[in-house]
Amino acid sequence: MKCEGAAEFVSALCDGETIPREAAEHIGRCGACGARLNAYSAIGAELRRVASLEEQTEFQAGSWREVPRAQLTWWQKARTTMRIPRFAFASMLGMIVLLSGSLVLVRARTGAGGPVLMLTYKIPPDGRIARCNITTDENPGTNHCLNYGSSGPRGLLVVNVRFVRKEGERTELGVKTRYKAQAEDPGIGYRDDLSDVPEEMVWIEPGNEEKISVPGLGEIELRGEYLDHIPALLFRPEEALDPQKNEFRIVSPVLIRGKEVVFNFVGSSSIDSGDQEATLMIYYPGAGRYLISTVPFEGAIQGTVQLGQIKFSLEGQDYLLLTAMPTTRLEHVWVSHDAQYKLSEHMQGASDGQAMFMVRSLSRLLQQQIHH
Amino acid sequence: MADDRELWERICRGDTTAFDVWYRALGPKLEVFLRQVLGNRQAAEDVMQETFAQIWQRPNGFEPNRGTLRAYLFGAGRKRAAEWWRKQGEVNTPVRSERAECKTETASLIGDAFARLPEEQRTLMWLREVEGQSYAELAEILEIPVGTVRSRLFASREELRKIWQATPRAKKKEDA
Repeated sequence: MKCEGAAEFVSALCDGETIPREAAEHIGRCGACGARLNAYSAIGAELRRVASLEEQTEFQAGSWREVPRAQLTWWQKARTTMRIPRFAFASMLGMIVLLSGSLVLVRARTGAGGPVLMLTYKIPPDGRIARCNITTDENPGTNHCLNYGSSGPRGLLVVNVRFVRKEGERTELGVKTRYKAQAEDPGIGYRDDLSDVPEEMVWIEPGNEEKISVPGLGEIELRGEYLDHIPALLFRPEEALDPQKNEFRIVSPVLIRGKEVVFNFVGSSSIDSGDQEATLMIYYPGAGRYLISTVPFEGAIQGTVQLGQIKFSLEGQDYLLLTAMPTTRLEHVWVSHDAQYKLSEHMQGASDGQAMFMVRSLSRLLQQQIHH
Repeated sequence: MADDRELWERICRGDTTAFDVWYRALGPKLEVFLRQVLGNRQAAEDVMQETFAQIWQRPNGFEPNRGTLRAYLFGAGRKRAAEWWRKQGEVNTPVRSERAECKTETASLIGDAFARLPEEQRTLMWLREVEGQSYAELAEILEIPVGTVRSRLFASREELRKIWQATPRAKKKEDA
């Protein structure tokens, strides 16, 4: 054996391994290999000496907050006991999916991790779900969100979430909350910057759940998921193209009168499911109120529905309502217009200067007073 | 320290005392290791903390019959370090350790040579020579076959030997 062939066994000797007899004999009589063995040993000793100098003699105790432990799911158990390379396993699964001819891959791509953090929080006491999305960047227009809504019999919860920074898969958020147990519903247009509320910093990581304590209410459970886009339907990301039975959904509506755009609510949506008298109410300052209902009602004219388009004629003018998704399974809707309508007189806390639209039950919208 | 299996079960149950004992025992060693890999004292401390925090928050992936908890910890630390490098955009770029500039001359002899090794070789050498990880544990940590561990260790040692012996001061020391 020559030195080149024995060199790797010199290294193995340093590690306490046994080596082939031929290699052992060569190293024993070869000065160069002996010198290499000494050099390797010296290097190891020197590294350990340096490490001894490096190590801190004092190391502070960590602060480990107790976290709720969940039982491992079957998938987690499978992952930890996988005996074949995970890449190979993942490839195998991928092939199965591909061969099955499904569109799952296409769907997965649209929901893949990205710069948008979709936050879902579960609100006590009834576990109601609220969502908001923020971008994990410095964009002041999109890297925060403010949610409010009634919670409990009469309470009002306001949540303000602000992006702070992102590290790997984790995002740090500044969260402010306020709960007023006896508050009235503030109605549309309500704003609360929570400037007098201390901010709580939380790290959000997909798959983990954080709890935020809200005085007077309890703990909100907060989860996050990264998306590669701001979802078109924040509260119904699973919504299919076809509307469900008794579903009336208005997504990013644009109303055109003749050749004039009356309003354009791109990015907003309102959906009512399981309501046999679902009705769209649109209010626009200067244009008054339009009601577009899935059931006939007094004073309404009939319009036609075709996928994401609703056509009708009112007061001698042709209207076209365009939406981003098919609105209903029905072929007809019924429409009325009240040019003198005052939102402030009908909806508590609302302002006449505030444009809005929502889908609710017809009977509710026809009440004397309504809440948002 | 308790048996790995028992310790892991306690960590999984959220036993803060057991976890803190483990943290204090291995935290300094992991930090020193990460300092060699990252060449940056502050980053090493951060990555060390993140590694422990990740295990504390989501304890999964460790199998007592496949390796030691210590190897699992260093493997997790190494992965975190790799993420750090990816963020820096300088993967596998040899860096000079801060330690080499602020410690004694004798310490910097090997430190200078070591810092010139590629990150992968630094990792391998440190885990073997300082942490005493077995070939099987190194294979687990680095996710490579055992045979590859042996050949890469040889390549790393040989590379370090050449660099070390090429430095004038090392020559002097070796000659003496």
